[in-house]
Amino acid sequence: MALLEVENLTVQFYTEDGVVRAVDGLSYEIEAGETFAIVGESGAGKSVASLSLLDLVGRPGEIVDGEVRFRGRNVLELPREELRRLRGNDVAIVFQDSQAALDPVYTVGEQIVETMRAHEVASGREARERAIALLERVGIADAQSRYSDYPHELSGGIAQRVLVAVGLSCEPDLLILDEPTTGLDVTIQAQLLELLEELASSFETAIQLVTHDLGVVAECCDRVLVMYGGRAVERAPVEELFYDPAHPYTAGLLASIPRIGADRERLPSLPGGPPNPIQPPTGCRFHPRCPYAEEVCATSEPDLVETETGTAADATRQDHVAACHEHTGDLEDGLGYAVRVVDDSPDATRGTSPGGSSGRGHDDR
Amino acid sequence: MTGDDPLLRAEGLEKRFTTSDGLLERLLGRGETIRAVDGVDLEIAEGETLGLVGESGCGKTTLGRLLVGLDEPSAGSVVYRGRDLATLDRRERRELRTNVQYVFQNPLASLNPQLPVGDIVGEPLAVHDIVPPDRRDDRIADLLETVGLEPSAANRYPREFSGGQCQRIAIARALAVEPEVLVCDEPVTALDVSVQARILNLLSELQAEFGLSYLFVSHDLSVVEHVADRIAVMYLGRIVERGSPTQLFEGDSHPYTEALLSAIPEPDPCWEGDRIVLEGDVPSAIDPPSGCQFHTRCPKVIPPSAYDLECEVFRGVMDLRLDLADAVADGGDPREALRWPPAGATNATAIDADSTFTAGAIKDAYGIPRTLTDEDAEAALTEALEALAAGDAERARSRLSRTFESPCETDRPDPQVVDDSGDARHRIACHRFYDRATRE
Repeated sequence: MALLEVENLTVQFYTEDGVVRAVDGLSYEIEAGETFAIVGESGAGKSVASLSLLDLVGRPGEIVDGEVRFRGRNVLELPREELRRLRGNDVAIVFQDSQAALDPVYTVGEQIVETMRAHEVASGREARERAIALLERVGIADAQSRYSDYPHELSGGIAQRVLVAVGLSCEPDLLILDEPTTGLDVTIQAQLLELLEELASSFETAIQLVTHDLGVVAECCDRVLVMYGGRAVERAPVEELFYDPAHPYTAGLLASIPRIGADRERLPSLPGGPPNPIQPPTGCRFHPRCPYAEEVCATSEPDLVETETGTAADATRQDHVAACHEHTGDLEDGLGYAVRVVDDSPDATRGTSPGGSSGRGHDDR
Repeated sequence: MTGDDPLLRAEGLEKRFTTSDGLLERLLGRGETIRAVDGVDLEIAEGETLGLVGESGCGKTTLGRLLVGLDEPSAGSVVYRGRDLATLDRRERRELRTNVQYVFQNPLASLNPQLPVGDIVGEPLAVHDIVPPDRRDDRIADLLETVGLEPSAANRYPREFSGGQCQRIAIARALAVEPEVLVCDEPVTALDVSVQARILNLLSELQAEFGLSYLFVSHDLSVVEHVADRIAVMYLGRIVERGSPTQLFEGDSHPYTEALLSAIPEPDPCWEGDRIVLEGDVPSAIDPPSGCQFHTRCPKVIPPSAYDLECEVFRGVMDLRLDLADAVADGGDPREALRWPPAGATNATAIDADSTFTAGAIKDAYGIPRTLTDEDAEAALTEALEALAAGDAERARSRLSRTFESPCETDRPDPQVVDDSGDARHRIACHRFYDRATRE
């Protein structure tokens, strides 16, 4: 049994313009100690999926279907008291905007201690000492004096670390991080990624990392789920995703990363914008932007299948799965991209750069 | 002016801010001066893209604002087409704004939420009276099409657009006055990769079409490398290195540039390069470090010539010295400012850390070998650490700073030309290159 099992999760938002299905039939699993990434563009449903794990989706949103099982128990059906105990204690979440997530009127230390007290993990002097140890743990210099700082006195990188410290305060088994490095300088991001790797290896904490930055994913994740328009379009171990992307959307995302030394006049980019959330395209949701779309893509919706065999995907297996007609043999011309691994000098970069064929790299203009 | 003259040139540009806004602070003389921009020389040629890179708080944005005349410099000058911005009167200054435009960092915050997009883009047309009122709507439609939006967008409000589209609107507004120079302040930072790629492509198309010059400010080297003809790397208000992307990334470069470069996550799970992780944040610009400002974090800080020390070892000694200086300045228990208890120590060991606060354990905490290869250095370090372990932090501090003074902290390095062969002049402000230049 995996630590976390998400099965057929479906979340809807009721808006004035209609019903938005933010997450549509999402299934995946996270093993203990594993680092799992969810990637996708803004609006793909990444954050909503993460909030659902702790039943934190509020009105006008509603989880309409599916199960989220943590250690075999369905989180969505837990009584209030037990859900309270689970949140923060077993599964903790680090929210996206660190400055907004910290309470401006309490000191950093009080916010860490508050979590420990609420879960009766520690109190009084002991809680204070543990909070300071945690601040040191996440790499904050001068933790003693930082303990009594207010959030406005912190830089972005430090605030993000404090949030990680709050998340770790009750030693959760699963830590959810929502865009933890977005908006940080590369140097600070590098420090934070080292910290995450260390946490995963030394604490056996499972991590669900939500991000739109594929560089970050390559850096520190074991497996990746790519979301598009509320659905999973590809799920794979990280090496396979980067070296053998099985969905044209993944390939497009990989190609649009600017890379040092890649002598390209213009960056290949995906045409068009994210799908309309109220009336998603018929068939494959990606087909209006897909350079390899054929008739079948507009009419029938591809299932998530194993790329090797074309058989239906199973959430419990850790294989490479993708939702594209190519893998069930329904695509006549196939996918015309190839991954090129550039190995220009022994110590320098190896890199994937899908590209090459016609149709790739045109703009929305 | 001749064809070789740069379009925009900054000389010895400085901008200082003071924190003494209040009367009380002024009376007590408590104000502190922040050196946001500290002596910058810079030029942008016609049709060129100059990339400006650095961490948050290094003064990139302030420099951008000075260059377009949004802020007055405290010293130095900005010259546009041979005219000093400081000498311009109101009318001329207004004219300047039709030549130099600015695209702000946060697209949503820089668009007035109460105006429809047509009014936002049309406002500069009216202010500068560029297009007669009856033809303005056509011009607005043209501009929106230029940046890849539907002309019908003119009737909608900014909130109805995504981040990438808002950035396009901001670019259309800047283009309305047909400028020659566009200062783009982190134009793609807030955007998804796929959207980011499209805005970058748009900017390069516009450059080809209108012959624009860009100052492209960003903290992301991989983005800057993609768009820029020349790159300037900024640290704490100063430019530490400049040159063409090839010169910066393939030849020798400033240790700070190397660190920035290696910090970019490689989108390749099997990549196993050495990452240089800089410790800590950028130091405060209120009281910036002496000499080379990067010496407090530099992994290649130069050891004093009297001793034979490895760079890495000296970095540890340097960190210890700086922490100790803080500890003495703060007063109180020196252990609070030091890396103590050593990282990775559990709570249990931290409690009886008193008994283990010895010279050897302090060395371990800073990654300094138990015995240094250089005997004189070893003797001095041991003496200082024994004093520290015995509780005399001041003696330890003065012993260390007397013995281990790096040239990096005493002298400010001037930019040295390291390569003048390519399309750009490659200049680095670092003592490592200074040594070489004087020797040759």
